[in-house]
Amino acid sequence: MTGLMRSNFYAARANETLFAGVLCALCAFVAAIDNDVPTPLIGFMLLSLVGFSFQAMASLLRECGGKWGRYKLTAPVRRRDVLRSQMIGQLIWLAVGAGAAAAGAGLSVLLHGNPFDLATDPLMIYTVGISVNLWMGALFFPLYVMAGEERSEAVLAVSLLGAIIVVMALVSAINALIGPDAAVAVLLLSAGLLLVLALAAFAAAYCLAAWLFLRKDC
Amino acid sequence: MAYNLELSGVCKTYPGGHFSLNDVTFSVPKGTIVGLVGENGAGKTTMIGCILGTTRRDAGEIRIFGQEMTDADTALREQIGVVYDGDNFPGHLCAGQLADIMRGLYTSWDDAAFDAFLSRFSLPREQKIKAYSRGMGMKLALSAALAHHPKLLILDEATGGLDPVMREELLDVFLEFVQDEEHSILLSSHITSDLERVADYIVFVHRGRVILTAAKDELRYNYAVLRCRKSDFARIDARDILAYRERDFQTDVLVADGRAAGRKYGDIAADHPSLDEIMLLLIKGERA
Repeated sequence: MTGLMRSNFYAARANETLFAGVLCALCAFVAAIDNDVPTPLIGFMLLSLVGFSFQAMASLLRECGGKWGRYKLTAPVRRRDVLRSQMIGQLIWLAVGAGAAAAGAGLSVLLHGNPFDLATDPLMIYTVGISVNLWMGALFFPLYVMAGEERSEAVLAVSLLGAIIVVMALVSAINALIGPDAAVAVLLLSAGLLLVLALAAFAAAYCLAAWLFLRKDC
Repeated sequence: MAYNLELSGVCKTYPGGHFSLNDVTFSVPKGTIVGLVGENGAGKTTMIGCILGTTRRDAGEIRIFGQEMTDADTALREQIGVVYDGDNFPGHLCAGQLADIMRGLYTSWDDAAFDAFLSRFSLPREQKIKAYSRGMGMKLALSAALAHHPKLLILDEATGGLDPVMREELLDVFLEFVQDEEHSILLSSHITSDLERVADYIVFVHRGRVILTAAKDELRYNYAVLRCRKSDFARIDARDILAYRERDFQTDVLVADGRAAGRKYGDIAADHPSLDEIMLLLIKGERA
């Protein structure tokens, strides 16, 4: 697994370095402007939560051109280890994104005060961002294994769009259920439900993708 | 005789039925180099895929070091080194980063051995692989394949597209590798001159089938091509003919025992064929 994780890191490093640079610039911008309208800050947080993992997935597509994907299978690793290393990598980049989002939000609050109406708002932003990230992975990995190298860019785009749509649909359904002016406890439960569903989808995707990968000719 | 690799009745059909392997059977004894030769599209890469588990076979048995290898048999894969044709590694890596990855994949990875190969092949440690020439890439792939001390090397067109000097260098490494009688190489190639130089056994493959397996020395010293006129061809016993090919003014006939054929058909000219010619006769010729 160590070798696989290193391989994934080296593949993602160039993309992530560039993305981190862009994010730093955005963070500086968001911190510099007044946060009375929190939209830029919310956008920055969501971008951090989703963007690093998206870049990591995009870097997997770089393996499509040569024989490295096939070469790894001749090494002393199981096929599901290859998949697991990629999905763990996504979670690690999610953690990095969460840290970046916290740093940006913290800086903005420090300089301009709390722009959020409710104390639960930052938690909701994190919940939505993490859910989109996990649903994106849940869609991407099985589709990537099924669709192969030829459609990898389309799979990536479909996964991101699909994740956004799924989370929007779930949020709308939950909002319809709990109604406006819900109590804090209900909001927290709803957030927990959203996260649990996303985690369950991510875990199920690992099982499905591993099953498909074991049967695939590479 | 002990074998590092044994294939028995291996079959594989791709969806759509465009290509299939049929009843592939051959072995790689310890301490030998077995050459797998055939035209482009003959099925060499598919066979190698079935051996390494990257391609799922439909039927048959493949034993590596006496065992069937499944996806879970990571200990077996520790002992196998692989080199593919073309880009084995991502271009954004350098040799040093590749060593980091390999160290995490193979418990038997030997950094000193890898560095020794880099030095021997004059490969820069910090240069990106995408800037390597084709020959440098092949040398790096061979260095990585050897640095974890495998017992079996599987090389899929590893010398293709290389100049003669580079190929000579790599072939020397192959010969060194099998000097220890425990090691073996399966070398797939359509460059028959390379196999003539280093292989102990040759397996001819055509349209997914093994059409001939023989020791290289047997092919070189026993096999013969009879160059006969069409009128003389009728005299040749069908049981002596492995393959024949009619040309403008003569018919070339491949026989397994040149000496016996010489005694039997003394007036017909006979030559010792190259592997190229044997391959052409087997693939483009007719069978009796």
